[in-house]
Amino acid sequence: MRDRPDSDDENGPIGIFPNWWWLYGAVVIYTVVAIVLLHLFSVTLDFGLH
Amino acid sequence: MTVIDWAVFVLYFGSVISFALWQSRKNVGVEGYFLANRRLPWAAVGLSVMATQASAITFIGTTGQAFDDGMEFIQVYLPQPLVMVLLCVVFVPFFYRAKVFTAYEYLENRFDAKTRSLASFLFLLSRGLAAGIVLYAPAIVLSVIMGWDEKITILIMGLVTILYTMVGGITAVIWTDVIQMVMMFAGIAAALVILFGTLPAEVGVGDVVYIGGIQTMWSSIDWSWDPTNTYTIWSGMIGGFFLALAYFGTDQSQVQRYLTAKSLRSSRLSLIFNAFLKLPMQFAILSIGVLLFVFYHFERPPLLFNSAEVTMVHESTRAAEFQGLEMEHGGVHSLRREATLELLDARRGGENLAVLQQQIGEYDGQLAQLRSDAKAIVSDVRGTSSNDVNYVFPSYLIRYVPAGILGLMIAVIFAAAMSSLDSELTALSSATVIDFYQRYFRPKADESHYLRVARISTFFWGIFACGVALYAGRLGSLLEAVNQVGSFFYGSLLGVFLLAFLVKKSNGDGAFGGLLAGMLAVFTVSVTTDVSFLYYNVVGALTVLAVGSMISKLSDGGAPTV
Repeated sequence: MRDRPDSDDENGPIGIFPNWWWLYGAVVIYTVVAIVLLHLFSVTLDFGLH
Repeated sequence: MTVIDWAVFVLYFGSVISFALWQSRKNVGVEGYFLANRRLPWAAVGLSVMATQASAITFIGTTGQAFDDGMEFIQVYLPQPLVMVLLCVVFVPFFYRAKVFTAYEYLENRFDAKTRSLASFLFLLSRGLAAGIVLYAPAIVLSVIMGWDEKITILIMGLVTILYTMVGGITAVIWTDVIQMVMMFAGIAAALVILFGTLPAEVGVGDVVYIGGIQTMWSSIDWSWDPTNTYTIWSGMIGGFFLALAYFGTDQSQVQRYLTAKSLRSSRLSLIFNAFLKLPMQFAILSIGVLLFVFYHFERPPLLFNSAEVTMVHESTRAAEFQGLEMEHGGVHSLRREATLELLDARRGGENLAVLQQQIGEYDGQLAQLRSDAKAIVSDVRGTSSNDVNYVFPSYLIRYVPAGILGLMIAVIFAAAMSSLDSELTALSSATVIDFYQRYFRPKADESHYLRVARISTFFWGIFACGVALYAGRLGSLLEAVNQVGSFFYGSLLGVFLLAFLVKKSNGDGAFGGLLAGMLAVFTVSVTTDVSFLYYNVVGALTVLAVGSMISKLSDGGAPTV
């Protein structure tokens, strides 16, 4: 059998996002931003003597 | 605990279990028992997914780890949002539309019965024993910290979980998870507030951040490329990615959760919910550990937090040596406390901080070395390694948290353990009944029969978990060996599912042969290299994909596309 797309799921807005792919894109951006913020967090809050 | 603590504790569990059983009244048949008749809202499923992953030892062990090593553990969780996207795009649609009860049932639809049975058997072997550890690890910590009997703690925690899981099935499990997860959020917030409240009045938020920063405790990202180092951005993003994909995509205890959602859209939303929430939650839990590190600059901590281990050493031939370390620890701590207060004053006065910082750094190093020496003595006396990190946070709770709140915090630790155990029990029961009993013994019995067997199976696995937990202390190295075996097949199992989803011409022989080859490859890597265990899943999954594709190509035909 081959999976058929479920129209209710594949189409239509998801909250503020126009479709699933926008939401997935937001998650990817969220991950990148989290890594950047954690890096800045690590650098700016490093008060050790080097 | 005081009477108020006990009242909070009992009231909490009474109301949670009553609510969960009330919710499960709408369950119909075996599908209701295992999948809540696929009608649950996404937020409930999402919280349950989170609660299943967050065991009690995650809560108390992670804080202890941050106390010792800072925030670097968060790197393991960084790829999790990306994993959730991949699950939504690839895994969930296949599982959801195939209308399966277990992840492994899908493997028979796609490949053959032997691949399904081997995968399900490996799951039962590993998770059956893991369920015992889920129960044992927090019970032993609570029994030491609270002075409760270890066996009674295990039995209370285990039997209550068996009762509501057996009666209410997955619906009761998910609704208890929801409340327990909300309680865990409240517990984390309360811990952060209380920690700030118990610091000396003159120490502000900026001071806390500064003291943590002197020892680079806030350092969360390590860009160094060293495959033997477990906590780097690369091991997190690569190894952690495969680990999370294997766990959320192939482990029945997680797959079963998102199959209970009322639509494919709800299943996906429950995972996206986790994608956004998991990192902040883990960040907050780790921050508790760093705050504890700062807190103990001003309050004298014990040399080791596990009082049972300390008592054992005090009664051994190495007691004098250990007492010497304790005295030295007390002395160095006093010096560090004075130097820290002096440093904060100097910082407020805009003076040069370098000398004081260096001094505190040296004291920190000495204290860490003393702790390390003490752990070595414990390991020598006990014959197994010290697990002191698990006692750092509970030890703080019992000594510094006010009445009422303490009961709540202990309830949260109980809740975390039970919300993981109940998920294991429903997953083990569903794999036993659907993948083996129904498949091989009674394929055409009526609903009421399967429902009865499902309850018996849940009871059996619950008692099995209690048995493992009660004897876990004696099983020691055997459990470690089983855990290692588990890590050998986790990535390989992921490889089988990736083969099913991504390689259209793969077949049963390829999947079965690939699975065996994947486990062999991981075993070989583990005994011949020092590569971090996080990479085992990468090795296993990629070997299965390569070998499975090759065998499929060499064998006749190829499976029809699914």
